[in-house]
Amino acid sequence: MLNDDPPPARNSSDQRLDASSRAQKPTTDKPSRSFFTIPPPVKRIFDKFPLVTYAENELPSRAPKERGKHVLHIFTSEEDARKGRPSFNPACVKWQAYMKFNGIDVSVVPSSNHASPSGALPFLLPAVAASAKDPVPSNKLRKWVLSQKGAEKAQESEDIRYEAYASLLDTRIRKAWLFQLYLNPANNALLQRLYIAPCSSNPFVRMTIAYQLRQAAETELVKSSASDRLVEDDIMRDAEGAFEALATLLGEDEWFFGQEQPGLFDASVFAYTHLLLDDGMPWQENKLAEMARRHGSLVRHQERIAMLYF
Amino acid sequence: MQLFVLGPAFGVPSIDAGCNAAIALLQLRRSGEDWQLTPTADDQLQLPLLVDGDARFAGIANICRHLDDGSKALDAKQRADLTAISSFLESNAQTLLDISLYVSYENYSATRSAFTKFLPWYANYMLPPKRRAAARARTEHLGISSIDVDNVHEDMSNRPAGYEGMGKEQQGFEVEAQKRASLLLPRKDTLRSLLQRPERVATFRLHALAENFFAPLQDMLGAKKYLVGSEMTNVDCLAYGYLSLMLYPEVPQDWLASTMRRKYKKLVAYTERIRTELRLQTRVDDVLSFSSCETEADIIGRRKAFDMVLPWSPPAASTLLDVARTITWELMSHVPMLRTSAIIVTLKSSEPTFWQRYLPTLLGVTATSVGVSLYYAFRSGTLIWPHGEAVHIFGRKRFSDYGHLGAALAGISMLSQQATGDSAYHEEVSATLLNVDVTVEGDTAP
Repeated sequence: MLNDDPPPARNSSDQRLDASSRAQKPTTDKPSRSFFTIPPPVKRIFDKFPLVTYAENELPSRAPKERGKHVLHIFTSEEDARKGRPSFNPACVKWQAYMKFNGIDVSVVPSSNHASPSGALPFLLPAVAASAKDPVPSNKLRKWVLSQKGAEKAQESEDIRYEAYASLLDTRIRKAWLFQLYLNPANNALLQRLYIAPCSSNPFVRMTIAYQLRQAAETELVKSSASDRLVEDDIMRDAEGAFEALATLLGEDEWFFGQEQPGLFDASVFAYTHLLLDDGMPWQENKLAEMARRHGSLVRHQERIAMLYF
Repeated sequence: MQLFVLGPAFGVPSIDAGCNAAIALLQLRRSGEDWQLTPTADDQLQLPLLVDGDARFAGIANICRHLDDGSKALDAKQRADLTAISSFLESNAQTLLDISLYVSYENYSATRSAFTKFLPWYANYMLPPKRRAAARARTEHLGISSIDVDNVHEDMSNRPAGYEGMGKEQQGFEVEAQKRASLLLPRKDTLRSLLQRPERVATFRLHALAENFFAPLQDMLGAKKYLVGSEMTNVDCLAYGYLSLMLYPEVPQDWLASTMRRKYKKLVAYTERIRTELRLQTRVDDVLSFSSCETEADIIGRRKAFDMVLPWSPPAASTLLDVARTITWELMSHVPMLRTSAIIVTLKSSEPTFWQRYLPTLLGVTATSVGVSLYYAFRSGTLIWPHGEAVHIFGRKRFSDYGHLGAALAGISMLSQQATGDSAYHEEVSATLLNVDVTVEGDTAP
């Protein structure tokens, strides 16, 4: 900046000449005293800086150590993450299972919605070595998995009824899940343990979070049912029908739609059935599990995946 | 048996998809029997509502369950398909209808005038905006709000900076610079820039949504006559409920109907077929003319005269009390603190805990008792209300603080003020000063 500022006394033609000459040989500029050179005494002082250079700080102990691996951020506890056990959130379990089906090795990290760029878990941080380094939000995970080289690509079923059966999971069973976990007061303790206690130890903060969670679940249910009366009986009966339909669809096959390999649909079903049927979740009231248990094929499907992949 | 539905519109028996499906279902299962179809505007009922004797069945799913659902003729696989397709219809078709009839501003004006025809005056201000708000809430996550690009009043004005959504605008410096540059060089539209305009992006996304619904449905229909099995089933009625509202309404932006007519002819034919088989054509004006009917004979005569198949009857009469109740309820729902949250109906009424039950009472009692005891304490003189000096001026030193000289000055200033006390400011100050000065003299005198 100093070099570009012309001395104030010269006229404009001089300036231009001067600028061009300086541009050609910037290094051989006269070392002699111009108005803008730093006086030697001052320069000597500044040359002494920095006085001390400290050694680099160590990384915080929580900093990721193996960045050579893909990292999947999900709702889980520290201990479960270390053991690679499934999360307690259906969306996270679904992707965890899908990654395992496709043979993609990821390490799992407990996280919260606030950490996610899209505001929702799960999301994936690709390994440092990978070509794309941006975090992958949950709605792009499938594309990402299919783009991975080492993945054994599980073919998704082309069955024309795929969409219809997928909607059973996304609406009916999800609604019943939301109702059972968030709005059923009997399961309050479980909700506290899973989503509220890890956030804060302050009782007022906890109360607020609990209230917000319940409100969010309620809004979600009201939105989809288009009326502000939520009838538990109806929601549960819809879910019962959904489980029955899924069990019929599975029949005696190993995987849904008669596939050779488990796919995304199996992962989605497993996400709910596992969390409902597994003993790891201390449910107080679990009507959905009773419904699922009535269908042996669904139970066997869940056990098969839990045994083979987790 | 009586079925309460929202009124007819667009040549379709009801403007609500669920009600439409319920009408088709009753026409399928109870055709020719004794049932009544009553248009109503009462939103507090859970429409469609079937009243059979003493029993009330709200919602299409419950009505399906109550009527013989004909699933005995189907095998387990078909029953599973039936459930899956119903769920598919309910989740996907509702979104499309929401966008087509309510979210899009131009189309909403058409929907709104259709509502006006059968709603009583007060409900016009409540029901359509409420349904629109619900529709927008349901489609918010799709980010298609800029389908309202032509609607300056609603969306563009209060859109926050850096709004992420449909037709996302590039914000900030670059846009400004581009604008200035484009004044110098008239910019030609490239294919890319044309496609990136918000309204085009919205169109693409809408088409993708429509495809995601129509394509699987048409595949499932295939070459068959009905969706499941060889007979008409409940799920066909449900499909009709939604498809008819996509196909028949004449709205300004008819992307939904035109997509269907252009690419999914099988579905159009299927909808037409159900409509003719169940004879569901409805002339809105004929139905509305029933409101002037008085006697039973009059109603039957009119049905014959109009050659009506559906057993329409006069709209449910609403008393003045009902109107007042509805209006109050609606007003209350807009007041922030009074707004009631969703009503949750559980199977077994869970016993509320001690705190939940008595907390409001306890709080009330505590507040009242504290108030009463304070009042009594002041009243009886146990506590004295803290009052300071009558006039208290902060930050001003009294002349007495300056000793003898101060006292002398006080005397002079008093004299001079009396002499020149004409300006408004001095008058104002002197009133207070005088007060204080009296005490000054009193202090210095002894």
